[in-house]
Amino acid sequence: MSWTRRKKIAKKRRPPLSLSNRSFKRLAVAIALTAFSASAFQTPSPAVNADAKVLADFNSRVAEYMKLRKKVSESGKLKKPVTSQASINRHQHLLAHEIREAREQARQGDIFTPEIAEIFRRLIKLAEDGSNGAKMKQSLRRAEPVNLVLRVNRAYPDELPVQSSPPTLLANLPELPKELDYRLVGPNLILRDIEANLIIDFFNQAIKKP
Amino acid sequence: MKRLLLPAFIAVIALVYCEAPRASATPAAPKLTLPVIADTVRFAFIGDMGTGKRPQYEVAAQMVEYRKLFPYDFVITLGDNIYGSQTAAGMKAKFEDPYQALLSDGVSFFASIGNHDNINQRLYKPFNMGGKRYYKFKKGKVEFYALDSNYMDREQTKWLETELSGSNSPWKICYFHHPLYSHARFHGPDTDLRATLEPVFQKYGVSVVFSGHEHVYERLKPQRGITYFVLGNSGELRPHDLSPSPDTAKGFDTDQAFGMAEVTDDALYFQIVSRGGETVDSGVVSRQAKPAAASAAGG
Repeated sequence: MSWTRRKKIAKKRRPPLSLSNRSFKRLAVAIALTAFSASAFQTPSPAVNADAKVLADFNSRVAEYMKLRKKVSESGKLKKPVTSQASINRHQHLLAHEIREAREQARQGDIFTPEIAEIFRRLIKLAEDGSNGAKMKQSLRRAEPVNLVLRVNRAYPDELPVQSSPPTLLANLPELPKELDYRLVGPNLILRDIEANLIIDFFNQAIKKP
Repeated sequence: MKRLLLPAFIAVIALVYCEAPRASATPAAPKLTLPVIADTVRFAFIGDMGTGKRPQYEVAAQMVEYRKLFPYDFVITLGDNIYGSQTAAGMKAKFEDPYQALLSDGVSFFASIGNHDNINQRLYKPFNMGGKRYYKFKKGKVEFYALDSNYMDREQTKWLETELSGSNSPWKICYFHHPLYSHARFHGPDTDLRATLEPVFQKYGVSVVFSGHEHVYERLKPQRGITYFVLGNSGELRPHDLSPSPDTAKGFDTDQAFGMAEVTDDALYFQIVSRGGETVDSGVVSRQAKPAAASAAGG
């Protein structure tokens, strides 16, 4: 039997490549995340798959916000030194005010579009189903869930504690510039400007009610 | 029926009064168990203190009393430094006033952030955070790592691992708000945080970890070579919240408290003092043996 013939037979006998639904999802997300991190805050490379395209879109929306924020924070009013508690508060409120003014038209879903929110839900679900999922859920249950009516451009109230964000959850979400963080508010996920303590965007039902 | 109401009311008041934790009418005279050896690193630790209410002030007064016997240089805070309003007036009533005697005596505070704290506390000068959510500082042979357990993202864990791996200090102490182990009923341990941090602590020889969050005091028996202290009752208190387990070395949940520690070459001595001035726990912790990774590197 010739070598080419043997190869053809072997090819026929090889079992078809089969991936469970979960494995496929993980693979797809892994590809998407790889593409995402490689292109962080740059022009997205040709999309590896649909998820990568959506995450690149998230990326560029965050980058757009950061551009606006940079412009706002470079204004003269915000360049005064922050030393005392009074000046820390003044700076926080002024920065929040300037961002609100600059994003007057901002609406829920400007950053977390329905497509992006859906991918985030899947990434979180992936974390929940992963090896640390049970620990993460336990941490979420113990994180003093808070109730807050969410609105874009609204400050996160000082009087309310923040829910801690489990490391496993954060490890599964796209990285953010250091000026922003993700916060859970009950089952919802917000994107917050840390220094301005301002809700930039949010989406509902990011996790099942802890 | 009406005749029964008054005695019932009095009985309820009496019961509440007996159950309510309070400082002793005459605080106990300070009694130090720490050795006070020359050239050691001495510090105090407090957690969940920023209420601005009387118990916080009473704990602070005990800290001042004990400092006369045990002159510590600095205080680490385990989060929930300021509850509620974080205005200048709030900071004054909940931090500057209660600790005024210590502050004016040159005692430094090194804060970590709790879930009730505004993240911009990192900019508040007396907290010595250098504008960072997490940071480190060194005192003698001890390296302290103040972490932000509200938000343990990849960047922070990477930073911690890099800093710990590059450290030559024989003592590495980490402190942050959420406890990795706890037997208080209200919250319980943060198991996801534990899964992330404990392997790093073990790998790089962290010997002692301080946390708050639970409004009680608990010292755990060493877990994987690490001694964990939970002290979240320097202002707040959740009476009778502890449900001690075989892993609990000591617990105290009937009054507010603060802690003090003295670090020598190989030992960390500790003493926990209640608002009434009673010593509720004391002892010594040995330093974790040099981690395998550092030994191999010839450190």
